[in-house]
Amino acid sequence: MNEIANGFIKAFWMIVSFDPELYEIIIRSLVVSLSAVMISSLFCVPLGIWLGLKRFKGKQLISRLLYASMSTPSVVIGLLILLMLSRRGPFGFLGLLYTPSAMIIAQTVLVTPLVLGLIYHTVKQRGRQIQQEGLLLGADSFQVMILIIREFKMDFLVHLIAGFSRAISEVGAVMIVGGNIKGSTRVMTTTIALMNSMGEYDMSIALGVVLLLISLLVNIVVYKEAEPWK
Amino acid sequence: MEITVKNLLKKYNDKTVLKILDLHFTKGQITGLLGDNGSGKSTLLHIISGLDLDYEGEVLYEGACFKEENRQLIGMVSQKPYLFKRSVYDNIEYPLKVRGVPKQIRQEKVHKLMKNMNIEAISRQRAETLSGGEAQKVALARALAARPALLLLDETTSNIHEDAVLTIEEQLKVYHQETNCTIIFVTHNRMQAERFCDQCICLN
Repeated sequence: MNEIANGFIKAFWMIVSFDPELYEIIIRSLVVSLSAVMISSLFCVPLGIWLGLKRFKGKQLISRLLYASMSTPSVVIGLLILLMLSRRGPFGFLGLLYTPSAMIIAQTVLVTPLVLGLIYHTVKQRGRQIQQEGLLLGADSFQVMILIIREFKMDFLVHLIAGFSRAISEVGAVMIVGGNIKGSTRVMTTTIALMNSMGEYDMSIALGVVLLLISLLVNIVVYKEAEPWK
Repeated sequence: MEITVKNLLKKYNDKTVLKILDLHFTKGQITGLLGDNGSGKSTLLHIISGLDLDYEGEVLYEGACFKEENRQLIGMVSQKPYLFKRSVYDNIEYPLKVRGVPKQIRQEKVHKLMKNMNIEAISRQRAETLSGGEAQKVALARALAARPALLLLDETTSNIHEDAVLTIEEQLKVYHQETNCTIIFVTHNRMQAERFCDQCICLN
């Protein structure tokens, strides 16, 4: 019991004293996960809208595959990216393995099906009416796309946050492609896993608290923005 | 805008939902479209609006087939219109904005429309918070903002208060007199059709 209490006290001091190693890990985690979500959103948003609105043969099959891929285990993604980026792999010449770039690639691949699936589902349910209204009011295809993004901005933001949550909380993919190298590819989840195995709970607790605070902060911001007129 | 429908056949999953041999909507007339539920009134409006191009037969606009440019000349208001999640003012301004109308002219037009529809007091209110009658007035003002030559009204005045119905009818009459546009008005209310329309067509 004392060990846990001491762990919390030490964790608290690490946070308030701006422990360099702790904050380096936090910043790296945020940079990697935010980059992955931003890159993913660049093609998930237009593609999800297009998929949601377009009628074509084989759409049902594609949507089933998409929904199924939303829950792909992160270690499988990690393994796939490792094989691609390893020295003998097709992209081995880039020398990206065990770098933050490899972690961003892995997390981008990990969150893309989730974000794409959620955006597709939202647009499929309610997008057609907005598209029709936009067209009737004289908007062209690009203006309709912008209109749909504006109308669903809070839904899309929540979907992107779901993607960010998946990215920042996963451990398998970044561990495999990043290697958990101190000062280079160590992020919050891989550090917690490592420190736990070493029995050093103070750093784990501090990072756990920070992860919870990030989650809480993100939720407060989203729900405040979701209904601005209230 | 003159509309001619010839040998129109619309199917959903091999089931015929609409079949019209010959139908003509004269330019500058208000035509009431009556018929039972499922008779294809809304389907016909969707086809004429250009939203549904998956049909057999011909729909001619001033004697020509549908072109993308026609969209700029057609306005439509449905029974449950979708208002964008923004203010009343921004909703009405939208069709002018996408057409690249300068801000000054946009402001004047939107204020005039809001005044005519008696919705000036709610101009800054968000569309999500409006009552059914207010929402219909905003949807109609938005459809009229671009001054369409063909106005399609799909049970626009159903389920709203009598006062709002009269305001909408009055403004439609004014707009019709100003522009000599063609109006196709779907309704279940025979009294209203007789009162408001120049001619009535019943779909079976």
